[in-house]
Amino acid sequence: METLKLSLPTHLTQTLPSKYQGDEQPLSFNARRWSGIVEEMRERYPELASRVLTDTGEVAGGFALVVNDQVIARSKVQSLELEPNDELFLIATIAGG
Amino acid sequence: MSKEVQYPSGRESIPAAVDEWVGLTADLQERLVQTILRRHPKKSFGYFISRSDPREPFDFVMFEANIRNKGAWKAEFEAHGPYFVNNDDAGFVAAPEEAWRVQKEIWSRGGIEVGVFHSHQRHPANFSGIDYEMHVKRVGNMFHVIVSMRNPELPQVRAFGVSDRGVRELRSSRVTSNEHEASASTPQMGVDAAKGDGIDAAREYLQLDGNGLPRCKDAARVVSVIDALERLGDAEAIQELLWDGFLRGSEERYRNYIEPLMVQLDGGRFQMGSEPDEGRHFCGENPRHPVDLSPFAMSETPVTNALFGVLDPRRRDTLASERRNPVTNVTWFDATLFARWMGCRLPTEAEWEFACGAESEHEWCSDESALPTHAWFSDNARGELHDVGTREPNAFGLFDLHGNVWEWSVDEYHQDYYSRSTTQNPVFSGAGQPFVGHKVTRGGCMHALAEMCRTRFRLHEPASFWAGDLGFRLARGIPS
Repeated sequence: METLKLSLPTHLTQTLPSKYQGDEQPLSFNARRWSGIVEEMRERYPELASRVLTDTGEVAGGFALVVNDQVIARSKVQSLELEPNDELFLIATIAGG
Repeated sequence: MSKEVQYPSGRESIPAAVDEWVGLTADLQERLVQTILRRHPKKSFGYFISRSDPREPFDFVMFEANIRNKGAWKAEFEAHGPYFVNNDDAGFVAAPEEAWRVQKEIWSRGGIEVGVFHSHQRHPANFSGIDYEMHVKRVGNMFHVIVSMRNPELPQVRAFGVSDRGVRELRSSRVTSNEHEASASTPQMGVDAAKGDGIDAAREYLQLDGNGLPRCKDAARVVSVIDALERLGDAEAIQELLWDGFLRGSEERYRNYIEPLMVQLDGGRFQMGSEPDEGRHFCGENPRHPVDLSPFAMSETPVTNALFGVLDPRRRDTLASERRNPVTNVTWFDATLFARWMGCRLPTEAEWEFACGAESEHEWCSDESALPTHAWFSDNARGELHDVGTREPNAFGLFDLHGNVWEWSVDEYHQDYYSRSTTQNPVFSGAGQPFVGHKVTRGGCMHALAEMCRTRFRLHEPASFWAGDLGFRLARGIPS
């Protein structure tokens, strides 16, 4: 299984279980598609998943997925075809009143 | 002659929590404020960045694009009420593309994002529900700084520690102190009461002109000098310089101008503040605690431009259409001096909350649905001041405690005062030197969201702050 790498900003690494907080970024996922990343994230990093994913596995509002320096529209994330050396980033899009 | 203005003592000190701070240096704050000023009135928002310590930012990164009015975001903000419908410059959302650009910039500088900031154009630097909701969802436990530009001449910076458990206001340095930063415009008293300078200063600054008005136009200095003189306790000097001098005629002015406007309140016991589970994102409202108030009187409305003109001739030129508006752009010193001049004082924070709630079980004097009948605020004020007394009064016969203008109270602000407050007529006058702290303001204003108009909502500003939405009303103890 090909490995995908996902990098997080510092404030999101704090949501990782303590045993993973020292893990070298990026995080590795044994997945080829976004759905695989979702499944693995929910299992290994449930708090992160609850923050950045919707119930249906889309990227939650307030976050954005970046693949190889390109921001991916949320509507296109689920159908994204990923390659083994793709660089993935999850970032927050700050908002307020 | 009645020696009015007898505040209960409240000079006890309350230690600040040692770890509730964020290291916003004066230089960093000044750079941020100047950057926001250059962009004003454009909304400013961004990240604070640090090398490693999450409480020691060394710089900030500003976003340029705001997609708040794009697509579904516009509807999402407008769902939060008329304020966001009528002000499409209220609210911010970072564009994903720029969020990525900023993230790369932070990483390229060897930094990490440790805090968020944004500016308020009309609101004070308080952390509102929408700020909380959007912050917690996205950036979790980062600190959040709000810069209020409601008076661009005096930007106000506040820092908040945010988590899913609630919000705490943070000190902006690691120095343990009971005092907030003094405003740069707060004058040093220059009076050392212990050395007896108080009487000389009183002779100099408490003179009246040929019209019987204060010759010294610096209200902060006058109020400071009066305070120093009174604390000297020299009865003869006080009688000569105050009651027969500067404040002579105050009882007559009270009878002529103020007494008809006063509402007598019985006081008694009430519950002040909020329960922990009602705290949500509000600061300083816990714990809910019993307070016993002696009977007192309160003016039925905020002080108007017309009334303030009795002391300040510059206000007598107010347009006829604004004479019944609440007076604004008054510092706490201006308000305190006027109150003394009129034989009154400012309400204590406890008196204000008692009077505002009027024994209602709700978070306002009524339930929220009826708030527009009692208040000029963001739902109905169209961003304008309104004549006092033109909404329905509360059950005590008092007008405009919710909305129209924020109102000064006599108390110094401390986030944790409620946990140490006395039960009987509490008032916090600050520890140590007076007039270097922040004073409590209450009630909301014409721009305020409903949550800011809540009876228990606490806000604070430097005593020398002034703004077009900030006024005051009068109080007076009932003689026994």
